[in-house]
Amino acid sequence: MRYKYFFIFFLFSICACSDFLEQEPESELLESEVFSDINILESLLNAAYRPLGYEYVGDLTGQDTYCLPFIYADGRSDDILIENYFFGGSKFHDFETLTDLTPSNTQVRAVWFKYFNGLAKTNDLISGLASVNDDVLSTELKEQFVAESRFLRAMYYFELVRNFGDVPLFDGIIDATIEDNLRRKPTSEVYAFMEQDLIFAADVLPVSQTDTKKATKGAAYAQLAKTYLYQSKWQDAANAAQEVIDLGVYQLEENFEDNFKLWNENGIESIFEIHYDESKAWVFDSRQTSSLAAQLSTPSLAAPLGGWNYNLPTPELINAFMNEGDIIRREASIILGGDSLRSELLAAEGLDPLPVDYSEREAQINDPDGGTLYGLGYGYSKKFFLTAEEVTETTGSIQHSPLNQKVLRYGEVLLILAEAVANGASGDGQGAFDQIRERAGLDSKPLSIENIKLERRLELVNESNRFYDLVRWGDADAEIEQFTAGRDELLPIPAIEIELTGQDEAGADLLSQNPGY
Amino acid sequence: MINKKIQAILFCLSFLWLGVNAQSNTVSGKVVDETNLGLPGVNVIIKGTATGTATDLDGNYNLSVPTGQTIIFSFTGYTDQEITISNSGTINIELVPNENILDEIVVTGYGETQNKRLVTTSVQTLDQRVINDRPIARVEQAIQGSAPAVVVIQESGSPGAPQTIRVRGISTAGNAGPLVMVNGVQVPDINFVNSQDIQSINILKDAASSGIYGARGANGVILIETKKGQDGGPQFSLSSYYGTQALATEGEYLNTAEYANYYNESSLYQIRQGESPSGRPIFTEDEIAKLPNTTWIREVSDNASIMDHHLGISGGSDLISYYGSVGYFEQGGIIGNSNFDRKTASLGLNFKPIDKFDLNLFGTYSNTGRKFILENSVNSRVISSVAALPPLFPARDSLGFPFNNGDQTGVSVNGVRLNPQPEFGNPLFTLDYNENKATSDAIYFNAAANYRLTDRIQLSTTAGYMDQSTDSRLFFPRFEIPSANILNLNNTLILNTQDTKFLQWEAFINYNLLKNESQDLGLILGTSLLQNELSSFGFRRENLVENALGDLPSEVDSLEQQSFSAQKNTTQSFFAKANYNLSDKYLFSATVRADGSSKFGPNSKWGIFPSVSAGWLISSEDFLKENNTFNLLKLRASWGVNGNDQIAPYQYISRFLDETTGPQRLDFNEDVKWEEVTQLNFGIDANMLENKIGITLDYYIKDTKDMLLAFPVPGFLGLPAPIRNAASISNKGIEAILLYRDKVGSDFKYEIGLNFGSSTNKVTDLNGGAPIASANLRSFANSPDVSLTDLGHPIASFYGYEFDGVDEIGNSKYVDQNNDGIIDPQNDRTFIGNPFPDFIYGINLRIGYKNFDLSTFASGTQGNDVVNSAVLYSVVYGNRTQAQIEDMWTHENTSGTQPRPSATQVVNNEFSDYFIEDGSYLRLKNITLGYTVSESLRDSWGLSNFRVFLSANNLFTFTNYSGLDPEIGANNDPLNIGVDQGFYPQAKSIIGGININF
Repeated sequence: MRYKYFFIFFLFSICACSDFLEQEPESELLESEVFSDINILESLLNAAYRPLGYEYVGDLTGQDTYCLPFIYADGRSDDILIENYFFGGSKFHDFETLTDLTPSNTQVRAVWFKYFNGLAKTNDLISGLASVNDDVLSTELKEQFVAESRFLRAMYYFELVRNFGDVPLFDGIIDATIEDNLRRKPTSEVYAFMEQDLIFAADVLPVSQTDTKKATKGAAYAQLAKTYLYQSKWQDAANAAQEVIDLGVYQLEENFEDNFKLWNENGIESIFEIHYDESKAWVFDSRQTSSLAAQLSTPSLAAPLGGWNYNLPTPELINAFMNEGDIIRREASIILGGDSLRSELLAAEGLDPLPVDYSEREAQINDPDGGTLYGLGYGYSKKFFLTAEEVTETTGSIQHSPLNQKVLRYGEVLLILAEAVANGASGDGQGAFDQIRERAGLDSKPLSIENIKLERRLELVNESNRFYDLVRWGDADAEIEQFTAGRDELLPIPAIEIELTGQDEAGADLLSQNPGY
Repeated sequence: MINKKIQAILFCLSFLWLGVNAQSNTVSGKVVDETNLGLPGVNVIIKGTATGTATDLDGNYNLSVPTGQTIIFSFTGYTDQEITISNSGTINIELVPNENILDEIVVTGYGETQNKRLVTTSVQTLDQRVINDRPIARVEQAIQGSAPAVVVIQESGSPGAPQTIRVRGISTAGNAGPLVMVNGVQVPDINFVNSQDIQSINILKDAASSGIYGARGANGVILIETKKGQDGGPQFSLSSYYGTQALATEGEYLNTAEYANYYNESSLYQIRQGESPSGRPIFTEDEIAKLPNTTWIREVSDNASIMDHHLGISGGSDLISYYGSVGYFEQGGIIGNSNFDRKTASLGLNFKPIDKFDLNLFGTYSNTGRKFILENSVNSRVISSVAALPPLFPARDSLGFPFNNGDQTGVSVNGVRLNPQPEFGNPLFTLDYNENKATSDAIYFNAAANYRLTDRIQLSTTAGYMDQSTDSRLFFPRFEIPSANILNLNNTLILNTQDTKFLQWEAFINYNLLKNESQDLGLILGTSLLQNELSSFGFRRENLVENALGDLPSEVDSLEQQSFSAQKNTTQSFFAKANYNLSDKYLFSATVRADGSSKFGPNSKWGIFPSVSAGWLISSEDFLKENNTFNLLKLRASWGVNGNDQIAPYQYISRFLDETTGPQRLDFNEDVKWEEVTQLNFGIDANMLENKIGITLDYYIKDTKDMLLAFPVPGFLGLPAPIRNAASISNKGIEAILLYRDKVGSDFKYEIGLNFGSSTNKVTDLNGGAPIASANLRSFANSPDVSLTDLGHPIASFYGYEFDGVDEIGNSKYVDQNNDGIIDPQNDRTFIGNPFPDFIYGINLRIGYKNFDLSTFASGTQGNDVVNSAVLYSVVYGNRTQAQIEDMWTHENTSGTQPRPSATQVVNNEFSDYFIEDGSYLRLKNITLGYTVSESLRDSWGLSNFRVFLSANNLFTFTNYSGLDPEIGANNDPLNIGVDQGFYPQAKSIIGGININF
């Protein structure tokens, strides 16, 4: 009789059992929610654009890691010195010396993470969109989402291939249990994959989008042209470049420097850019939506332009401008003593125009006794520069630059056409070349491979091209003093990635290392 | 929903006990000691239950006891007495001291108390005396050094900083903290409890003792019982202390003359090597004379006060008794703008409407406020700058602003040009222009009802609720210092709020199946429901109109919300325990618990966790009964399995994180399941030589399998690391407690206690995964992960190069582990240090002479390695410690054993064992001298107790560690151990106080 009381407790607990242990996420989204809501899908697509602009991925790698393109792309070239006197011997500097780059460099791993993270986001979308119902997303819109995703996937693969060479190739969500999926695939295979993505995107995407950050038909053709260019498929490159030109919506900016002005983002010459905003949040990780490039590139002028001058155009690059008499593009690309910085704030400090001996003065401060005259003879990067007024009117801090960065612009498309024609393709290469020269205030030159090489250098400073161009042309060993041929063409595969990917049955690494590392 | 169900069952239960009547007796009397003085605070408890009372200040008690039940009188240092009650009446007891010093009442959970003699598992009890006889700031401090193999790590010396408790090593890479129960209700931490409201703390260490807590007990269980009302009264207790704290050590950094000399040596070295040194030229004698000599730690530190006040009231009758208290604690910080205050109020009510039923309620409210500085990070710019910043900059400029040593347009002092140092700014900027404050409110409530259905069956139910909300704000004001070329246009507020709720309901039956002359078989059956909710959000605002933290409204418009997270998890359990005692010689216990957790998927929700234990009380055997050496000798053995589900919920569901920057796919693992910890324990308890000597020894093997951890995956998967059951760890260790207690004459009593714990930790399986790197440090070249968790090594062992002296030009050499002639990180790094100590120990000494009492308490660690990275090696022109410049290699001292001077370069900063130091220390944590005013005087003042004391904390520390404090803090990451990036050091303090009862 009294034993019945025992069971009251247990009955209660068992009753609670049915749903008590079933808990669903409250602030996180279920997979089924994501792919059944147009708003969430749109934000997922927006998120897939972001990794292109990642500058810091410590939250993804768990390590202290910057990944700004001017460091790992331009820093390796003969254009830019990556140095800062209180960061001698740092990870930044390894991209400068090249010989110090090792598979354990955390910033190399950051580059790897940056683009593979973007890749995963696009593959996620491409896989997930296939099963989205028409009442969530119309067939047309769905196709456009897929096209944007495939455009971005090609962008990410392009960066991976030109930095790391062969890479694992994923079409859709990765099945990591299949060993072969984890192996690196030949560059040619990856390029072919990128071409398919871009041709599809070029076919589907509209000529213009209201959201200026979004990929367009022109962006897909421009990237396709560049992809062919890197494979020396000259006629294909010329044809794709011509497609961009034939769209008739792009033209060169009258003033070259307007390309890099805050007030002229998404201008008439711009085809695709990385968007940054005025977010003042300083999260120091991949969620950062403003750019750090201005702070790292600007010299330490007066507040609020207290920059860190890591991004130093070399004397060789300055000479290349001087020899060509190229003043317009030099002034838009490099700050030298005597240049106007168009700032009343700086003028009040005696820094506008920049004193002629500014570089010497800086060097003197750092070593009045004539040791290493750090920075002497170097310029300061201009393409990420904001005026003091622009800083105070936007984020108030040079740490948070809202300035977008050009990825593809019409000027480069003309140079791609010119280079393809110089290499034997048919098309109006000379006309394209002349447009570029004329805008730069320079006389026409005959279309030759050598002339094109110089023109790309002067036109595209700090736009992540020079190093890859030199490698592509086979000129890197000759032009870059510290370059070791057979090794420095590519970055090392991060050691930890090789380790985490594991070995095959024979005990060989699934992910092989690049030669020389 | 669960709320309603709990209400319903409580309602049902209330009918249950109204319908039943009971047969019981009221017993009262007085407990006296050997000198016939009334003994206050003696526990009078009905055997086998938690029901009971304590004697009042004169030793009187009053208790209702069912016929046939036994009551136990127990008091620390005195032998227990047991009386079986047959009818009402007066029972006066004289307790005999010192006879059996390890004889204590042990609380083992779920209404069960056991005489320590009969316990077969590894349980440690801390009584009120240990908790309250020295001034402490937090409950955890009472545990530190008092229990072997229980490590309490103050996360930093910052007032109000959390403390980490580790029972028997680290058995998981997840949350390795023990389960904490206050009056049987699970709570996230114990900071909200005022230590003076605590009656006892019991620590369950092995699997058999914690087995009844099943899944939650893998990291040990800490049971806290709060004080209860005493009959009679009202009685008041007032205790109060006040003291002053100061910096214990300044560290041994170079002064200006030494630094200038080091700098010059560095430049000269480079010149002689044919290199051009960077930075300013060498310092002339003239220049050195013009430069200030700033000891940065002095600039940021100051003496600070500490105080605690607590007023308690207790009293009651047969029907109802009460305990109430209010407390106020305040601690100033010795570094910068930091402090902590805590206000607590508690009320406990115990109803006993009928003999068979009692209802116990306890509630407490605590409000804490904490101002803090950022620490243990290169970006914190206070402690790290103190270590790294050379002494030659002035602290403030002539206008009183912090001197801007980071002005890249040029820095000069008294006409001497200096190298600007923006990387580690003047710490006074951080102190002047950064304000951080966290406020927290905690409400805790529990209700427990016990109903004795028959003499042998007791039904109990408990319900508990806890809600803790914290509001944490970092504020960086807008400011301008034209003279220093500084213009900070924006002020910034970073706000995080967090709210945690625990709701728990349990019901259990204590059933005595069999009880006769030689046998005693008890059973516990129970069930438990637990729900935990956690929500947090964080945002950041700039350009606020207000420019001081104090001016901001309590509700700030959250327009720029950045992160929001809400989660809920639930646990459901059934458990059973049997205790069998044969002739008080052979003791057995078995537990089984089934736990279901919402954190796991449909196929892995439930885990079954069994445990068994046995004890043999040899001293009760006939052949030892007449023996004079052993008063108690007991062998114990136990085995059991616990589980662990301390991971974020929903890991088994495919889901996306809803970031403001767009959804981020999270990896998931459908197969994620309980982590299991199997523990084997052998122990001996012995009391010898008329109980003057007490010994407890334990040996344990604690194996973790299917350990839950964030499993590192290749970056090309593009996903954060998923949680997997990915590793196995083995902890083995011994623990010892030695006690010696004696007296000389009748006035002089003394007691020496020693506890010792040694454990080894080894990773035994990684399930085929790669080793796990952790603790990423910017201090060293290439920002390495300095710790590695790999097969055959302790978890988070230090991993780097092996320092091999210096080469012919004074640069560091490293051992070429694979002899290929190249030093590279892939092949030449190795295991170079173990962050875990060989052993930890505590020493207690107590002396009583007439009205004086003296107690000292020291604790230490031996053999643990610490990476001292408070000095920033990755930055040029940084300061060094004295130890680092001794016997440096220079062109004059080519036989030097330490790397050559390098103020002007960043070199020789690869992570190697050169940067690892021995972190062993012995610290005199406390010494307290008390004087209790004589009884005659007290009587004339109308006081039942009046004691004054003087106490000193952290007076001496013996260590070779060169950092500010060898007792370095713990990072939240269990894979980041023994890494010092500049913690807030612990203060030393002198405190005076009084305890008054009336």
